[in-house]
Amino acid sequence: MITISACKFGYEKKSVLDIESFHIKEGEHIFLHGKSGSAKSTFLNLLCAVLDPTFGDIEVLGTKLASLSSSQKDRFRADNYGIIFQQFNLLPYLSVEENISLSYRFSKSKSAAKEEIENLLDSLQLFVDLKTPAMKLSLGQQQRVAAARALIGKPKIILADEPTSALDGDTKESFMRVLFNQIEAQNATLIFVSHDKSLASNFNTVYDFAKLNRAFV
Amino acid sequence: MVTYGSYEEIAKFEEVAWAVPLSLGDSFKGFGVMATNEDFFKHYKYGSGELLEFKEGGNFSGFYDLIVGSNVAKKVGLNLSDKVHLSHAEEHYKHTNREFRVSGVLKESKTPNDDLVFMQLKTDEAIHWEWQSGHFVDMKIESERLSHMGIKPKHLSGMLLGLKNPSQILYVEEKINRYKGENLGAAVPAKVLSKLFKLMKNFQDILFFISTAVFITALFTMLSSMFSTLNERRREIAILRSLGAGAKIIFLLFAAESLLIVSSGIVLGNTLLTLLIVLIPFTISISAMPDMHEIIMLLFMVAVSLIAAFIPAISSYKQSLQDGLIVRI
Repeated sequence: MITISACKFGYEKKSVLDIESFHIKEGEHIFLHGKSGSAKSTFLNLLCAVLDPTFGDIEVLGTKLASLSSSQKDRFRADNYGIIFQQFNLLPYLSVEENISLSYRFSKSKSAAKEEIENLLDSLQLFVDLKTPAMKLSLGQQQRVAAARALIGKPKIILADEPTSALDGDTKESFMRVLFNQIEAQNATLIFVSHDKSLASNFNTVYDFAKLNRAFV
Repeated sequence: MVTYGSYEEIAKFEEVAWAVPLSLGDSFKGFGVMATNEDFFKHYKYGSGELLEFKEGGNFSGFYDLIVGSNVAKKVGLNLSDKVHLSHAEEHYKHTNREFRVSGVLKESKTPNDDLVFMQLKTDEAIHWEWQSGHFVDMKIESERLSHMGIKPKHLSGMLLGLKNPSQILYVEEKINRYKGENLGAAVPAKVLSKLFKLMKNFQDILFFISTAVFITALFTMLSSMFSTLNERRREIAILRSLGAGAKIIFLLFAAESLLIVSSGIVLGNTLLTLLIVLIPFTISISAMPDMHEIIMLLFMVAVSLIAAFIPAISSYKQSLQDGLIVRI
C-alpha cells in the first residue's frame, strides 16, 4: 500500500532522512517511535506529499507521489489521508461541525451527511453539540473532534503525530481506545508517531525510527 | 442699472427666447424683495434644470400679490393669504399704505430664492411712484386705483435672458457688452462658474493628494497588520494544507481578507459622505452617488489592495512550505 525505496531527503548537503526501504500493508497499524529531532516530522511530510524527497520514490496506493503536480498532490492528500496533530488541530473560531466538514471541502471523493458526523462522534464517545465553537472544548474533546475530522469520509490512510502527548493518563487511554475501534471499523491503515513507548502495546507493528532512518546512524 | 427701454429692446433680440426683468430695493423683515414678473417662475431653472415649485398657492395673479421663499415663510411664520407690509430699503420706512397678500409659498430649493420675497415689477414701480427723491409724498391714491394707473417701470437692476440656441451665447454676450443705448455688462453663468472652479482646482488637487496619501498609509497599515499575524496563521495554514488546501486557497484567503477590508472601508466612507450631504444643507447641490471617474478610482483602490495582498500571501505560502504540516512554535 505504501512503498518507500531508497528515499533521501536533505537540506543543502546535509541529509536528514535516508530510508533504504519501507513497506506498509493495507490495514496495518504501525507505531513509529523516536526522539524529537529524529526527522519524524520530515518523514510524515514526505508520506503525505507536502515535501518531495531529494532522491528516491514514494508510492502510495499505486501512485508515485513524484509524478503528481502540486495541486494533484493537494487533491490526493485531501482524498486519501486523515491527519491528526499533537494539538491545535482545530480552527478555534469554527464550530465542531464546521471543523469536521473542512475535511471534505477540498476533496471530491469524501463527503458526509450530518448524521454520519453525529454517528462518528458517538462512536468516538464525544457528546457535544455540533454548533459548539472549537475553542470552548477541552483538550481531550478537541483531539476527538480532530480524530473525527481525520476519519470522516473513510480515507484509507490515517497519520497521527503524537496525538496523545497533550492528554493526561485517563484521557489518553480512552482516546486511544475509541480511535482504534473506529480505525478498525473503517479498515484504515494507521501510521502513529510517538515518543511514548507505553502506547506501543496497542500496535501490531512497531518501528524504532532511529533504526529506520540511516541518516542518524 | 438697466433702463426699461433697453430691457424691451434686448428682449426683442432674435436670439433671445425669453427675458425676465429683475429689480431689487425693498425689504421685508430683513429679507430682500425682488421685483420681477410671472415669467420668472416659468423660465428660471436651477440645479439640474428644475423650476422653482410652489408648496402652496401659485404664480402672481393680483396686483398686490407676494410670493415668499421657503425660509421667509418658515422664519416669519407666513401662510397663504396672509396680509403684510413691505419696507422701503430699510425697516423704518414702511409702505404702510399698501397692503400685500401672500399668493404663493415656494418649496425649499436650497438656492438663494429660499430667502427672497417676490413681487411684480409693475407693482414695485407703482408703490414707489409716491416717493420723490427718497421721501414719501402722500398723494392719497387708493390702492385699487393705483393698480389701474398703468405706471411703467423706468429702471431695472438687471435681467435674466434665455437663448433660443445655446451656441449663440458668446455672440449675445458680446452684443450686449457693445450695446449702444447704454453701458451694459452680460454675464454667462457657466463662464463665471468655470472661473470659480479654476480657482478651486488647486484646492481640489491638494485634497486629491491628501486622499492618495491616506489611501497609501491605509494600505501599509493593512499589510503590516497582515504581516504581524502571519505567525499566528502558520498553524491555521498547516491545518488547511493537511486537509488538501493548496497554494490557490491560501492566496484566496489573503485576497478575500484584503477585499473585505477595502470594500467595507469604501462602503463606510460613502455612507458617511451620503449622511453628511443629507444632513448638512448645502446651497449648491452635491451628488451623493460617485460619478464614473470616482467609481474607476474606487475600483483601482480595490485592485491595488488585492495585488498588495499577494505580498503577505507569498511569504505565508513560503513559510508553509518550510513548516510542512507540523508547526512547532
